[in-house]
Amino acid sequence: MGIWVYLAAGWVLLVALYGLVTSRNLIHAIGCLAVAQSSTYLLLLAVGYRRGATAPVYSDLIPGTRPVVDPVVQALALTDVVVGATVTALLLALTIQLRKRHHTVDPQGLTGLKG
Amino acid sequence: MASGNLLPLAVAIPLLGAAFLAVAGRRLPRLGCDALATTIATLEVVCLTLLWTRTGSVATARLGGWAAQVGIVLIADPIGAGLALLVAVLVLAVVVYSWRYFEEPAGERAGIFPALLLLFEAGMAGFALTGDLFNAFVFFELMGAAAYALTGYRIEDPRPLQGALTFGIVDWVEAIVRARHGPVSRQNSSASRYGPVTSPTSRMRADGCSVNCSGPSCSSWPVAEPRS
Repeated sequence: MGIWVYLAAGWVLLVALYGLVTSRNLIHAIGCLAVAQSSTYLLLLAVGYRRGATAPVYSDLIPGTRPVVDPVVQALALTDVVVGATVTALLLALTIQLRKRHHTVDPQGLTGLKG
Repeated sequence: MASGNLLPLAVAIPLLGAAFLAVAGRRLPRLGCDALATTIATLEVVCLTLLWTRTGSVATARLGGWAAQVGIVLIADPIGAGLALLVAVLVLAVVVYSWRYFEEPAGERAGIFPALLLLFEAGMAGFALTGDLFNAFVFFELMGAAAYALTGYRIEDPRPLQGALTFGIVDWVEAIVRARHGPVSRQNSSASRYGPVTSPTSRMRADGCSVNCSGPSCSSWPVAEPRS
């Protein structure tokens, strides 16, 4: 694995940020947010990875006999998935409301806050 | 009551209060909702004042009696408890302000605003009092989700709606970049110094001092392993 996973995580994040800043559609922008979020899964799992280690489940494993990967970052990635789904749902609900009220999903159409 | 017992209460009071208000708010009149929300916010201020005055150095609470390596640890030092107290006082001020100056819809959505506010308070108090990286993430995300929902609370008006969308997207990107990539990559770069890992949590805690820039309870990170 080495450094490539970290480079891949950084690349996924940059691609998502590029998509976000050039987006002309809020649904697309929220999709880009989900992609940016998935780069953190890569990063978290890479941090906890150990060569030759197995899953940290001790039901069929005697503790101390084999190395296991870091369970904390796996739990963090799982929490990230759940919270990411929550935030995506919230933002999509706001987008639906915006479409109903203003008949647009273009971020450029958010002119209500312009001074 | 010992400060170790007050610590879980500081997070539990607003969380339970939020759940109760969300359910009971539909049946209560506006006055009842306000009174309930004010009572819970005042209770939180009292709890944190007691905690803050009794926290001489550092108070820790291991929830459920689990060891620090696997369990959830809350830690209060004077700075962390003081910040949580500041949050509680500000939330109480907001609740009192919203009595008169914030019109809340009746019916199905009644009581949701104070419930969201208390949820936001629970996230902030937990973030100030947490003793490990994992729960810092959890509380940070609770805080963020409640903040987006509060910003877009007046969903019928165009300005709060657009503000909530903008705030949600920008803040979420910021949270992804800062709260995850920042500390985790720093943690990894220095993890090799700690040699073979026996307990992953202790490794994250051992390097906790490099995480403190993203958490308010700065001085509690280096002492994250409970002493008592």
